[in-house]
Amino acid sequence: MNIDKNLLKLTSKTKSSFVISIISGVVASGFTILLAHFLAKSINQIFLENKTLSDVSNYLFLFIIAAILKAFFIWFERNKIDVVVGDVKKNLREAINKKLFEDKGNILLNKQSGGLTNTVVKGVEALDTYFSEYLPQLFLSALTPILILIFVSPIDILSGVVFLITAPIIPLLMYLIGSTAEELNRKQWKSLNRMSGHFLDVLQGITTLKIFNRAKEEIKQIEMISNAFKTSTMKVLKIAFLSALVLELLSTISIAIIAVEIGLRLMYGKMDFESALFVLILAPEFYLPLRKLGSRYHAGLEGIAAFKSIQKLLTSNSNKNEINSSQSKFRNGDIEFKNVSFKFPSRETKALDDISFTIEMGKTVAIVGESGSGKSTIINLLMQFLKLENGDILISKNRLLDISESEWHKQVSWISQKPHIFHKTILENISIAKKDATENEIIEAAQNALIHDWIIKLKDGYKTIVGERGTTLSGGEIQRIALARAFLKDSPILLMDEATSSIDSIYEQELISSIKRLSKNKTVVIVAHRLNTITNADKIIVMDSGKIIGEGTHAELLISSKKYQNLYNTFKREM
Amino acid sequence: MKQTLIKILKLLSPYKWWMLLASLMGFLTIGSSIGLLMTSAYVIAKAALHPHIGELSIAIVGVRFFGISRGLLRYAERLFSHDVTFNLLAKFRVWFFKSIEPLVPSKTGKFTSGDLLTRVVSDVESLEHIFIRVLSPPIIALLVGILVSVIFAFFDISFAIAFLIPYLLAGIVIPFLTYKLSAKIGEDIISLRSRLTELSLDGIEGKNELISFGKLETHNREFNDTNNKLIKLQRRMNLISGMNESLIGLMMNIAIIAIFITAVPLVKSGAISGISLSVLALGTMAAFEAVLPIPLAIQYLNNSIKAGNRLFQITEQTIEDKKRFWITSDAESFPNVLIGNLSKKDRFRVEASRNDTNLTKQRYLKNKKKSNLKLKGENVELKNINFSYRKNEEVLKEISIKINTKEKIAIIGGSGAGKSSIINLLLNFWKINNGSISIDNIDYNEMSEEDIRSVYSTIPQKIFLFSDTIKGNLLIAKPDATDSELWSVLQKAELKKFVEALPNKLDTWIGNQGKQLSGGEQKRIAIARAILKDSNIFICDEITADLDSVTEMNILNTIHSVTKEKSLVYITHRLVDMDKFDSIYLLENGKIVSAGIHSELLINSEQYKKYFEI
Repeated sequence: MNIDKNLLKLTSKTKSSFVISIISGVVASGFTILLAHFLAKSINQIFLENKTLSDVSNYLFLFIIAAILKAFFIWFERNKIDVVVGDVKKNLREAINKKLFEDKGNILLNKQSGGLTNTVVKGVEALDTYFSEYLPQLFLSALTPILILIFVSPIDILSGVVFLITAPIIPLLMYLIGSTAEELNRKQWKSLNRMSGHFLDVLQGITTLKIFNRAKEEIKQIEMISNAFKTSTMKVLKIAFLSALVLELLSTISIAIIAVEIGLRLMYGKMDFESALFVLILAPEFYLPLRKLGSRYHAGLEGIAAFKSIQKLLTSNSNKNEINSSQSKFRNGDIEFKNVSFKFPSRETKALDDISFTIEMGKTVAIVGESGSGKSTIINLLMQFLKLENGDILISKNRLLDISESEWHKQVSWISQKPHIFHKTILENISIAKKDATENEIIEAAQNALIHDWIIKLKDGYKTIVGERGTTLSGGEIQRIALARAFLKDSPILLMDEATSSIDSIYEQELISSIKRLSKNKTVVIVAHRLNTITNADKIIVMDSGKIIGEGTHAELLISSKKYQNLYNTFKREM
Repeated sequence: MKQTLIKILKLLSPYKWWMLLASLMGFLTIGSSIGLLMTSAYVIAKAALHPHIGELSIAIVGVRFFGISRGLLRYAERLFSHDVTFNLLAKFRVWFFKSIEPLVPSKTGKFTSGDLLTRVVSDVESLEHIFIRVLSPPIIALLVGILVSVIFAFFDISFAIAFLIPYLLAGIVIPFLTYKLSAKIGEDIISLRSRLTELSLDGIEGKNELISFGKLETHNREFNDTNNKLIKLQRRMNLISGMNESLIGLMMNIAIIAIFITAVPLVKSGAISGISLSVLALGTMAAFEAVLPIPLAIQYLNNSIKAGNRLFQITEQTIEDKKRFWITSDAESFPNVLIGNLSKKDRFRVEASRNDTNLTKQRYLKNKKKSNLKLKGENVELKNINFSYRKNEEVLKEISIKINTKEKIAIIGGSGAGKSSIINLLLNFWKINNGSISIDNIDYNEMSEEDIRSVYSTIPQKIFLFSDTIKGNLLIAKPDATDSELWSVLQKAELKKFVEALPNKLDTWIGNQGKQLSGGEQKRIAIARAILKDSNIFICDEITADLDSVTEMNILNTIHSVTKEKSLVYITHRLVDMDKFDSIYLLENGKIVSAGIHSELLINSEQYKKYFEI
């Protein structure tokens, strides 16, 4: 059956709640037996022993008490299991979250953020039904029938035998369903997902379909695919339902057999009515937990599948930077790369191959090269987003790895090609760069980044919430907000990774002069794929497939580097 | 709420008989259980009186019959109800696609963004389960309630009442009460959950920002707080919803006691036999199975209505915007599926104009004639066009552009200047306020959308590739193209070598919406697609905006060589190779501020010169 040991381990801290919950479930079953007893007794006394209502009123009273207590314990069982579920969900989410942040590039590089979020939110939620419905039911479906068996067997051994024979067949059957029909079923659900994917695809592509005059045909396509899916799925479901049918038949026919058997024995005086009624009332209750387990089988499978992807995430190599105990203080100075190499685990070739260069304090250095030449990797290593494995990076002669990460990040402003905008207000999105920034400082930063005018035109101005539920931003607007952050942070080192790639030509000129102001007295590293922003740099480094193939000023490189000439010529055609 | 439900039910109406049949099977399944327990109770109670075996035989047959029928009926129910669900699945998808197809991209705006659309799809999916989850349980519970009441009334009418009161409490009052108690919590849970999703996305995508600004701890605190709050609320919710099962069970026992107490005096007086005591008690037990799924059904009902609301909002809000145009000038092209959503007056107008046989006939003939014309796209003319997306916000003013055969036109300007709006008008995604557009001197108003789009091969700014193979993506442009045709367009788009090197060649799966391809490769697929369509006029909208200089150069060279024998409308804010164009239109704030060839503009136009001062 689907008990995953690692999953069970998650409940270790709340074991007592889990056990109490299971006990409550068993106690509730105990009351079910009592109820059957009182009812059988009351009916027997009226029906055969000629008693009056007041004679049986004691039993009726006890019946009601037992009914109330049973209701309470069923509720309590659920209540207690929720403690377990809540704890599991809380811990798992925190663990995944922590894992994501200590990771240096690995998980995030290989996975799509949407899928990861799904694991964090929905994947963990899928465990809810596993722990709240499937797992306790697994225990109860073993314990409750045993309890009933204990009470029924002494009264009527034959019924006990019927129970004993049929009960193990049900889990066995479920196992068979699990290995054959459920497998088919699962495949089918997968293809349902694929079909949903197709539907999403065509919805997003309607404009494209219209451009090619194909939108109307697509309606037929959707209909066709849906119908084909229906036909194939129904075939599979028929098998799956058939197994369920056998299961259902087994329990109802058993009840029928028991009813007839006790009826006949009753007739020949081999049994008394009260016992017979007691057994009959309990017969459906005997099979109920097993049937419930069957209906929750899917939740069990889903929970385990979800847990597998969570576990994979949690146990993946997290590639942390070792924290050095002898942390030295940050001192501003030259930045030096010494024989740095870097390779992404998923790729064959090195992203950086034995790179050495120096960025003098207060100077502007530009890195150019075609996409994939390793420019951004240099920035990512400097920011410690990637783990430095070969070679050394020195800041004012101190190893970068020896400087505390948070101390280092305070000194660096980083503007990426695709800056992230948080699901918050614009104000919060800019002020993230500086603790306790005043409104004036924020506005000034926005003005410097040429985004202020755009912001105040919005209905809620700086209080506008951006992101999916709010205003969506264009690439240029996002980059200007990121620039505003850099203005606000005003740190001695500035790293710009293609920071103006999405900005319109009309802003470009003004922005360049604005960036020039920002760069004053700072050490600046610019990665660029358009050359207009960097011709004035103090030094330009030309990269090609992970190697430095040229270094010098614009004028020098135009003479010495063929690659640079090419890059520049392409750019010049734009003028 | 009611209205939404009615609209959803209308969509379901073609399947009403199937749904009824499936519910009937569900009802008979529980009916069998009731039958099984009641006949069983009869057998043992009767047996206790030691009758002749013959007196039991019919009842024993009954026990066997019900013992078998329950399983079979359950099987039938599942089969029917899943059949209905799959039919609904096709139905809802087609309905939604048909409803929004005419509205894209003009008025669907933000909703076409990926994440929102994902939500839309899950909304459609939640409607597909409306039968099994929402409609079927109450129908079954209702039928079971009626059946049991009728049977019990045969013994005595008071039994029906003793049964019905707890049954209704369990089936209606308790589920609604717990639902009402937890409704507010449920909403809070939903909003907390989406906040958690946002936070988790922020954490994953904004990880580097959080690290570099030293905000990791703040973020983690917020994440953990939200998570804790969510879990607390979910627990509170479960405390309430957990009462359902308990209370329904309690109601069943109360029903048994009530029936017992009602029965005793009747048994004593001899009005009914003592056998009925057991029969009634066990019948009651079996009947309550029908109300167990009701609490969940209410929850799902609420979800379905919310999903329906969101969907109708998309399909209907957009009609509001398009309505005027359709009603006044193009009634017969008003989508049939949407007519039901119009107000009475508007519907009347649409229908009246359709009924105007003369007009319709005329238009029909005219359209037909024009369709057979097979437009060549030799010239396109925009004359004095004004255009606005929203009222009073003109984005294009007095635009006049003429594109002659094989002419290369560039439209340039900053963002928001109105460049892409011109494309939207050319492709007839939007209607102009005034002025006229014509192809080969035939006005747009006299052509169908399909005719208009047949003359353009478009490479849009945001390229959309389907999650399909390379071949599948190309065939959209020409479904009956042969493989050798595909190879020849790939060669023209300079993608042949790349595709040849792939292990599966044309049948290579390009990943989720082409994500396995680089930006440049995606562009080239789109170019190949446009070449395959082989229309006379090529439209390129900002196709190099997010490419590096080298790739940009290569793509541009490809475009110019491909369009040698074609007309070209090229939209850009990056002024590259401007000397290759026959005329350049510089757009600012929706107006053409300069027009001419590159060398002239460099001398005459201050605005144009500004672009080159950088």
